[in-house]
Amino acid sequence: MWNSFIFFALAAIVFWLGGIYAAYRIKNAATSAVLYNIGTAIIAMFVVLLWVSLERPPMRTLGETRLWYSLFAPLIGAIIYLRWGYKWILSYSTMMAVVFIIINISKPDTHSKALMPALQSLWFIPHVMVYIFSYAILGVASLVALYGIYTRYRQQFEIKLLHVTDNLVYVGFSFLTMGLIFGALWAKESWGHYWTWDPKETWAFTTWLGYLVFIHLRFQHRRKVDAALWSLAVAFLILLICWFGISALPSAQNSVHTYNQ
Amino acid sequence: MNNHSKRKIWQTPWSYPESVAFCLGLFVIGMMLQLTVGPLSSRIFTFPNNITIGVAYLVVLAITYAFARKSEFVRWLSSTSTAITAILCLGVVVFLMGITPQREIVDGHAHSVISSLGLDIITRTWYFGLLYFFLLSILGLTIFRKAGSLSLKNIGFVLNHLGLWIVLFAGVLGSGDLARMTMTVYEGKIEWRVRDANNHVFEMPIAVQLNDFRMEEYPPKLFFINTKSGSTLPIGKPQSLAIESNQSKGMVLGWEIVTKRLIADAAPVNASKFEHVLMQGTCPAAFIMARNLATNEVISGWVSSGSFVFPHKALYLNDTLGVVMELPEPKRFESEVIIYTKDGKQASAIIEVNKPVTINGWKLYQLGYNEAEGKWSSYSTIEFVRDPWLPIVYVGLILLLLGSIYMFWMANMQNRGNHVE
Repeated sequence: MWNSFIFFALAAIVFWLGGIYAAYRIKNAATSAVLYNIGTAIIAMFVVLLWVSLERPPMRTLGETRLWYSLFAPLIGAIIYLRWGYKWILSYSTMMAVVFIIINISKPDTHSKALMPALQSLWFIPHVMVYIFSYAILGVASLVALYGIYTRYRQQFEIKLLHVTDNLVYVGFSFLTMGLIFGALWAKESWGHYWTWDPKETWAFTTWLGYLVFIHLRFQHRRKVDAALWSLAVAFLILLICWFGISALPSAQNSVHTYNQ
Repeated sequence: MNNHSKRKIWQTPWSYPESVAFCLGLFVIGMMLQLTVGPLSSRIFTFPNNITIGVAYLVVLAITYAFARKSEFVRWLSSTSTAITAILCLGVVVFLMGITPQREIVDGHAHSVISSLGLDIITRTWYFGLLYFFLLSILGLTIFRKAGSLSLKNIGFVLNHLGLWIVLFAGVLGSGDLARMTMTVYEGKIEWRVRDANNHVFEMPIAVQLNDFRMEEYPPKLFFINTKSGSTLPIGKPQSLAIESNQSKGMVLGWEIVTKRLIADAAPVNASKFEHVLMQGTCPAAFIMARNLATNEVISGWVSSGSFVFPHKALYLNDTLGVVMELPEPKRFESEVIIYTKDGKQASAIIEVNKPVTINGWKLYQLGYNEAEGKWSSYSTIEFVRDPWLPIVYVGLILLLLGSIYMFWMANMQNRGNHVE
């Protein structure tokens, strides 16, 4: 199945670019949204076919989680575009999806069909799904924040941008919390305790605290724009360590969450 | 931030400088206690101590709020700026935990600088304890303060903050009462002894008789190895070929591999032949045909993963290239048991990974088996877990879950802009 990924990916990218083109040149939101979402639907189709061919949810390897990311990033981008009319979010989320697609084509550590017994649980799908969705939203929020930092630098900053990050972080953080709780409930059924400070848990908790700081900053100090933007950038950095960096950390060599083959 | 530049530190109203100073102070005191007294004992929070401590703590917190809620100090404790500082400080300590490998067993001897600073047992250090306690307390006071004006409008606040507070409170108070024991039980035998993490043996009020340990395995996989170095090929990114059935086909490294015959439970009957047999220790074996796509050269023979009884068998394609079969990965494993309790109950059950069995307040988990023997393992290890505080923690988790759903629901409906700093 992975051998044919490149064709799905190319088709999706063509539609995404078509959607972006329509947004900027034709200035027709409906056309661009339809084109753009066809691209996303092609990735969704690949996910479904992969799921069927693997006979298990494709959520185990890093390559598979990256695939979900390249599905959710453009999906969320399209929602933001339709809701707030930001055209640039389409190019940003496409860029993000394409980066993950390229990594998956060049380094497909994705092939094992086996699913170890501990992962065979009803909790598996909700836990991972909610997390990937949350990461995708928070990733887009950080992109918006970086864009905000850039516009601050160019002195063209609009406060409306922070309202977008607020909404995104609220949604992303609520999913982050759900993921954490599902993980805890699953851990109780699987390993006997809901929280064992496994390195991944430790990092997930640090990530959670990071976004908690952002939310409280925004609650208390509406006018401290730089602090808010930068805290979002730092929180996303922690999230990336939690997601990818963890397998390289000496502290995580015995983690139950390291999924390299 | 009113008059931030004119105000000197410790002049009221307190804000960030005081919060930072306070948290740093807690950290320094914690570190000094860590260096002099050593790690916190897990015995602090065992029954009935934890009940006493919990009640006393709640009473002190309530009295503080009742009599001093108007004081500058309590106002500052329950302010957002103190919350942000406390979250950041605890975050830094948790970050330290994330980059330092943690030890499971605390034996009381510090072997290195890292150990004496407690960096490898952070959850048992004084500075973690003090910062945790501080966060818990300011969270509690904040909830008290908001609870006075309870309304539908701040339901999200209450769910999230109270939920988190309950989880943090019950999680730490219950930590000493959490019991995790491991039992090794052999097939056909009854066992009632368990061991804790320190290898101390206890007798349980529950006995387990293991009738059968069963395992299902994934189809075996073929790998290519360099026969001189033993490394799998291609180096760094080994390719494998799963043999799902007879006639499975695949291409690796310019060779086409066809499986002519796959036997799941095989044993070598002579030097070059495998057959299906009924006995202990059988292993998968496959007769494969390898064709070199460039030269059309065909080599065929048996490969087998071997087991704890039989040696593995490889097929050599040329001087440096060999095909080997990996030991099959477990798909699922379970123990069919009869459980007896001291109060006379008897129950048959199947304990499987992710499907623990509950009896008399204990949860029994399928933990492991003899990995050298794989599916032929003569014993099963079962973990016994008891956590009397779990229901309270779950109440907190459920509140937090409802809070997060509320948060998701309200994300687009927040009142931006009207907030006064």
